[in-house]
This record gives sequence, C-alpha cells and structure tokens, in this order.
Amino acid sequence: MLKLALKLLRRDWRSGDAGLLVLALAVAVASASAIGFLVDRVERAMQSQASELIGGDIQFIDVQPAPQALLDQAAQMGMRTNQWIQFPSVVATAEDFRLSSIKVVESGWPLKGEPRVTDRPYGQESPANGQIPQPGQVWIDPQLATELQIGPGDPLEVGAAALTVTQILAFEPDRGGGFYSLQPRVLMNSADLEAAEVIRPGARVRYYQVFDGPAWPELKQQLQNDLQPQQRIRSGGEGGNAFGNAMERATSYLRLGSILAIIVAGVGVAMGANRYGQRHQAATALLRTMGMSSANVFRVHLLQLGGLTLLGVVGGLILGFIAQFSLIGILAAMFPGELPPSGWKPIWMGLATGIAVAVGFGAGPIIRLAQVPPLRVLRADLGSAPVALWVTYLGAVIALGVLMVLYTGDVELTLVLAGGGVLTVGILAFLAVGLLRSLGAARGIAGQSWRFGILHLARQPKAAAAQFLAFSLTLMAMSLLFLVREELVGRWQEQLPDDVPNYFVLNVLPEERQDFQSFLDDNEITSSALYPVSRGRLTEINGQPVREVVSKEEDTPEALERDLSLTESAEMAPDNRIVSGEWHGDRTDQTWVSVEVEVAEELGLKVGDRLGFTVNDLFFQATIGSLRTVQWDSFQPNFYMIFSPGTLEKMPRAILTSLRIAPEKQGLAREMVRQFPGITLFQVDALLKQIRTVLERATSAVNLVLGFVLAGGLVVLWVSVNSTLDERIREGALVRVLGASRAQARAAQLSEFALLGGLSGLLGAAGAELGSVFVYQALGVEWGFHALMWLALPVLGAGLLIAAGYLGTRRVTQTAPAVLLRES
Amino acid sequence: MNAPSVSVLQVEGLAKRVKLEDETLTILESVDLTINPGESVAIIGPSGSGKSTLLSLLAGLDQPSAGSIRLMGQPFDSLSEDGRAAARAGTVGFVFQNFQLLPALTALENVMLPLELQGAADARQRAQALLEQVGLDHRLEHLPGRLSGGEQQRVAIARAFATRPQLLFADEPTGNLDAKNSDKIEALLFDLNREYGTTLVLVTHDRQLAARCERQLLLDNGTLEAANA
Repeated sequence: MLKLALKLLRRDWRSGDAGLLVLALAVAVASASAIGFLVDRVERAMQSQASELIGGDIQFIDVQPAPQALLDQAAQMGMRTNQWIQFPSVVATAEDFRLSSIKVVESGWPLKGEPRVTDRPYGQESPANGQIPQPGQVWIDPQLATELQIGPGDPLEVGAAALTVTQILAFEPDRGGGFYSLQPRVLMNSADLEAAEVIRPGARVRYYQVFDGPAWPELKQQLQNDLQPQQRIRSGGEGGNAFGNAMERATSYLRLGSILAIIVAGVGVAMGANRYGQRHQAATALLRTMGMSSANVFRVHLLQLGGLTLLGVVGGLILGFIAQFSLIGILAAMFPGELPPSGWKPIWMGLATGIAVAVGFGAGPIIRLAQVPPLRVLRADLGSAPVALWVTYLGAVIALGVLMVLYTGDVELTLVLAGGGVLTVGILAFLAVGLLRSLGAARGIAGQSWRFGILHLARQPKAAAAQFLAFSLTLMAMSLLFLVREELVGRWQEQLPDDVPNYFVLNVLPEERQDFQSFLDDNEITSSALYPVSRGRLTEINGQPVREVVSKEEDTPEALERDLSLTESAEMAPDNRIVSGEWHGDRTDQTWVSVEVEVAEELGLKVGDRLGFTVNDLFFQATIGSLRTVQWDSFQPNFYMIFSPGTLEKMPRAILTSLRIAPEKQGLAREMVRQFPGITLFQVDALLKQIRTVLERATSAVNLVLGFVLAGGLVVLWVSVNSTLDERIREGALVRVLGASRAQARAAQLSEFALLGGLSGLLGAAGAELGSVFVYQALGVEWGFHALMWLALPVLGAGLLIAAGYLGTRRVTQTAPAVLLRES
Repeated sequence: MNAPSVSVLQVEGLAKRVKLEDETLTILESVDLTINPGESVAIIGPSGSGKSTLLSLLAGLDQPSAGSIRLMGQPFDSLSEDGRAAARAGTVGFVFQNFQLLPALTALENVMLPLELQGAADARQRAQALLEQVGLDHRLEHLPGRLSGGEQQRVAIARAFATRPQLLFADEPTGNLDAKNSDKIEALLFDLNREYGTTLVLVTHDRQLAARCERQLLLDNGTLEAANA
C-alpha cells in the first residue's frame, strides 16, 4: 500500500499536480513560522522597551521590603533585581522647604532605562551612565530646583540628614504615573536613609522591588497567585499608559496578522487540494476497476496526503527559515541591540500549522476520492461531486480555532475571530450564491465577451462559489489587516502630533492668570486651556462615606488613594467623549460633575448619583451629570472630575496647563520661570521621545506583518488563477477553432476574471467591513463605515485578477488549438 | 455536381517533424493532396500513424514544418494564427471525437456560438432550427453535462453545420459512442453533408465508416496513398 502510494506520489510530482498543493502548504507553514518568529521577537523587544517605564520587567510594590524567600526564588529563576523606596517628606534649605517625593535608590538602579542629568534646570542633558547619587549626595528635579532656587553644590536637608545637591535629574525613566500631579522629586542613596530618620511608624512608605529577566511572566503569575490586598504588581506591557496601550494593540495586531496569514494560505491549500482531487478522479476510477476496494483507495490517498503534507511542511520550514534571516536584518535595524534570540517555538508552530491546514483545508477533496465510482472510467461525467463548500470551510474553521488557541492563548480575540469568521463566511457564501443567480439574469444585457464570462460563472455555481469565496476571503484578509493598520498607525500619529505639548505648568496663581496668558500670547506659545485646579478627596457617595461604600476586600481604586486634581470647565476637552448623560456646559442650576468612566465603573457610579468632596476643610456636593472617556496618553491635562463653572471659586486653587515650547526657543522656559517664580514647569520631552520610539517601532512591525500577508495573498491569488488553467486552455482553443480571434478568446477569459475579481472585491469589502466590527471591538478601536474600501476593493480585485489572468492565460492563446485533437 | 473551378484544399509536400530531446521524430514525410468541392474523403490509418496531426495541419490548427496548404485557393500556411482563425470562421466546421462542447453553455448556446462570432443577427433562430433537425428540440436549454454522449455529439454536429461551412473536418466522430449511437451519428453526418453540399474530410480507423465516403486515403509511414476500400 505504502509502495503504491509512494509510486503514485512520485508520478504526481512529475506531472506538477502535487506541486501546487505543496506550494500552498509551504506558504502557510512559512508564514506561520516566520510571523510566529516575528511576533515572538517583536513582542519581547517591545516589552523590553516598555519595561523601561517601570525600571524592569515587573514591579512588586508593598508597604514593607520584599521577603527574602521571594528574592531567593527570583535569583533561582535567573532574574536580576533591585529595590527602591519611595515616600513623601519635607526637604529644606536655610530659607525655604517643600513637601517632596523622596526616592531612595541603591546601586544598579534602574535595571532598565537611562536617567538623564544636567547642571541647571532646563539645561543641556546627558545620560547618567549608570551613576546614582553617592552617599551624602542628592539629585533633585528641575521643579524643586526652581522652587527652592538651588542647584549643584547647594546643601539640602532631608529629615535629619544634611546632604549636598550634585545633579539636576532631568529625566527619570521609571517615574511613571500621572506626571503632572506629582510632588517634586529628590533622589538619594540608600546609605543615607538611616541617618535621615524619616521612616517612622505610620509613614506612607512604598517598597518597590523590581525584577528583570526572561522568566518574568512565570514570576508574575506566581506573585499574582498569592497577592495581599496592600501589594501591587505592574509589568511593562500593561495598559493605562501610552506604552501599554500601543503595545497591547500592536501585539494583538501581530497576532491578527498571523491568523489572517494562515487563512490566506489555507485558502490556497483548499484550492490546490480541490484541483488535485478533480484531476485524480480518472486515475482513481481506474484503480477501482482494477479491483481496489474503496477502503484501500482511501488509505492510498491518505498516505499521499501525508506525503504531500510532509513535503509542504519541510519546504515551508526551509522557506520560513530563509525568511527569518531577511527579517533579522530588518528587525535588527528596528530594535538595535535588543533583539532576543528565537527558540524552537516557530518550528513547532510551523509544524502544527502545516498539519492543521492540510487536514482542515485540504483533506476533504482528497478523501472524497474514495467515493469515485469505477464506472467513471467509461463516463467522464460521473465522479464524486466536489466537496460541499460548508464541509471544507467547517473543517477549516475548526483547524483555525485549534491554531488560534495554540498561537495566542488570547481567548477574547480567538472567540471574536472564530465567531466573526463563521458569520462572515456564512454571509459571504449566501451573497456569492445570490450574486451568481442575479448574474445569470443579467447576461441578456451584456456584450458578447462579457456574456461569456457571466455564463461561465453562473452555469458552474459550485466551482464559481468556491472561487468567489477563495478570492473574497483573501481580499478580505488583506484589506482587514490594512484597515486595522491604518487605524492603529493613524491613531498613534494623532496621539503624538508634532505640536504635542512638551511642558506641563503647575501652580500659576489665579491672580497671575491674566499676566501668564499675556506672556503666552506675546511669545506665541500654544497651550491647552488654563484649568483651575484644587486638590481634594472624594469622601461621600449618595450620603454614605466612601470607605463604607467601597468594600474592604477589593483593591482600593487608585483614585481614592491620594488627592484628586479637581477642576471646573464649561467646555469639554476635544479628546474626551461622553458615554452616558449630558455634558453640563455652562449650566449653573446646581453643582454638576462629569466623571471619568473607568473610575465610575470601579466605584459603581452612575449619572444622577450625589458625590461629596472635601477640599481642605470645605465640604461640598455635586450631582453626576455625565460619564466621560479620557485619553490619558494625549499629553493634555486630563481630569477624573470636572465640575460645572463656579464650583471651585471659594476653594484654594492654582492653574494647570500644558504647552509647547519649540526646541529652538528653550530659553523661553527659563524666562517664564524668572517672570513667574512660583510656578512649576515640568518637562516631558524625554518621555515623549521614549513614547515616539516605541510607537515608531510598533508601526514598523505592523507594516512588516502587513507586507507579509499582502505578499502571501498575492501568491494565493496567483496559485488559484493557475489552478483553473487547464480548463481555460481547452476552452480558449475551442473558441478559436470555432473562428474566434485571439483577442476575442482573451477578452472572454479576461471578462470572467474582471467579473470574478470585481465581485470578489465587493464580497471581500462586505467581509472586511463585518470583520472590522469584531476586530475593532477586540482591539478597543472605535468603528466607522469604510466607504472608500467599498469602492477600492472591487477595482483592486478586478485589477489583480485581470493582471494574474493576463499573465496566466497567455498560454491559453499561445497554445496551438491542435491540442483539442490530441486530447482524445 | 458541377465541375470544380477551385479545389477546396490543395496540399503540396506537407511535412511535420517534432523535435524530441535527442532525435527528430518525423510524423508526416511528404503529403500531397487535393480535395475538390462537395467531395467526401476518409483518411484512414493505424493508431499513431499521424491522422490527427494531418487533420490539425489541414485545418490550420498547427504549423507544418514544410510544404504548403491552400484553402479555397488562398495560401493558408503562411497566415498568422489570427489570420487562419479568420479564414476558418464561416468556412470550416469541426466535429471532434470527444465532442468539445463548452460546459457552461446550453445546447442552444453552444450552437449559437460560431454564429455569434460571425455577428449573425438571427443566431438563435438558426441554431434552434438546426437542433430541431438533429432531433434535439426538447433539449435546447440543457447543459452538456446533462446530455448523453450521443446527444452531445448531435449538438456538436449541429454546431459544425451552423455556419454552413464549405468544409467540414470530422475527427473520429463516432469513436466515443456505442454501436447504436454510432449509426445514428453517421447517418446524420452524411445526411447533413448531402443537404448542405459540404466538403467532408473524415479521419477514422473505422473501415466501415470510411467506406461511406467517396474516396479513401491511407496514411502510413508519414505518406498518403489511395486505399482499396
């Protein structure tokens, strides 16, 4: 049996029939392993970049030092670790004092990222090169330096310790959090901690234990399992900041890309297998007449399929391996010096993909060969019918589901894609049949060569529907990935336009407002609105104290842990969006407040609830008028609570805004501080640059995957067009025997390709539109109708197929019609 | 039958050689042949003697290696592929062993196709009349896949006569049919041939079928000679 199968396989190979199937399989395996490889490495490289923001891969935050057992375990896992301590404390010069946030570091800080220092506020920066403040020294941020009018060489008291300022800390990569609501920073050496005597019982001290190393996901999982209520864990790729959001989306995109690449290649396998099955009917019928049982025919073909799969997988792995080498070049340029090595994962992923795709997409038509009746030897019109489309695609959906679980472990994306996929294919098939029916009716009004194309499609609905589905799925996958790319990259560019604010200004007094505005106007500095800000706490929800409403077991929402920045405004910031209720505008009938939607969800708040706030000793109440989304990563001032105008009039308040000072006008920053000595200027250029770098890299990665899938799609279109060539060559010869010119014969062929491509484009647009609803939801992107795609995709589809058809059918018109006589 | 003024086909020194990897295979050595209007000629010969090759050269479906062919007095072999197609259109009809119907077209549309390629306005009526003549008026809208072998060949014959060609080539027209259908098709072919005054060139290895033609030629070792029927 095996011998026969091998012999037949060798003959198939010589005839070129098997080649198509193997090629499609190899493309599937190559894209799976190459994209798998790409995703794996890009994820890790982006993770590494984003982890700079917290100084390492994981932060473990507690009110006491991390237990020795944990440190031992991390060391065993090969993780590097470093500890820093943070607490609020008053620091003083001879003349003045400020409440500051003290960060106590030890040698090795930070594990990731590069702090930058300077010798005067807003001066020339340089990297710290692994240095930290020596014992007896402190580094202070520009905010504190300007407020206390001190610089390098000046003394500063921290608690009981007298220390010396040696550097201005211009950029602290792991500062994180809401950067404009922070207290000024003082960085000191852990050796001075005891002498300062600042840590007393009841002090708000946080111990940050930072871990870094490839085993971080396992460590994070363990930490999460026995996390105490007062403990927190953070990792670099998490949401909530510009890095996290960009990374989560880029990662999801890469995974989406790898799944769509498999779909595209799977369509190619399905087409190849179908052709293989059709072409083997005669030989199979012959085997049956020679006395082979149906079961044995089944076995022979199963063995052949196995052999082809093996060839495809091996070829694909080699192809993928070569692709990896070229990708390494591109990746290395994108992520200099940070590219982690790849493992065995891409290889076994390629293997799993090859088998799943071969079975899911390709097995149907080949196994069906066992049902070919021996009578087909005499009557060519007999033979097993092509496999019902739904059988092929059901097998495919199951195979894809298995693959998705293997690849991503991303349950939400998997379910959304699988559900969306089934729905999309169902609707596409329904539309394809409808289109074919109405095509049949339209043939009367078309010219001759068009009519030929129409009839060809309408009269062979099963074959045509299979082609429609194949082409439209491929076009859909390509355009869906393109749409999502546009959305992500557009959003990333929008998020950080060239004029994004690079300074935050705090503590402008209400009476300085006019002068400050004039200063901005005179120097042509663009700024966001000037928000009056009071520091206060949310103390009551519907008359009940907050601590009673929010149960003790739950994590205390961060919004309640510290003072909130409260503001009032009649206008809503352009990047905010109301999700419930109505924006209060300038209504003053009562005190309204608009609440950020995530805080509202954490606290269980809804429109109409009464909230009580305390600012210093003043207590006041407000009714929730609306819930808003906020873009925290927009570098504009953003607030959890915005009140109706006039609410804060009696409260102590200061003005906050963000503004842009172009690099060539840096002197203006110093001038501003000189004219308004009380204000605090917070520079975010370095942070901006860091975020821009991550976004640029994410964009490159996304483009790379898109390019890969587009190229794969083109290969599949080409293979599919070629799989119908025999039939076309015969027909082209026949119409020429009947007196048609080459041009006529070709026009008839091309009209069919144009129809097939145009209508597949239309179906693909429908599929992509539908798919985008699901995918956008999974990626957290707002959905909108894509009118242009509905125009572009049919044109593109027709153009692509005409081009592929033109090249492919050149043989049709070059073959001498005598082929018709030789066939018999 | 009127005296012929111009022969339908005039062939001189026709040869066809095919280059294989290490040798040149001569299929046709040197064929001379004249076919007059209204004549019916059978070309017979054993399998592999080059009958089909000769037919494809005579019909301009392939290029000879040497020699000349004149169709209706006009040189045929020197024309381009498209020129030969244009010369064939309306002049030459075909009947194939394996029918060669377009599977996407109905019986009626298959017969209409050559008429439409000529731009005939009454293609439908003429095609319908022909299908009635071959006894398929109840099968007009059937696709070829739904027709039996004999019915398919009748559609093919109707298609061949649709343009009222002066010359009809038939390549083993009954080769794929059973005895009963063969008889029917033979009868149909010769009846229509008589009725339309068509010149018939028939390739077969069936001596009985060949005997119905006025002249029999034997193709052997690449040359053509008169056969003893």
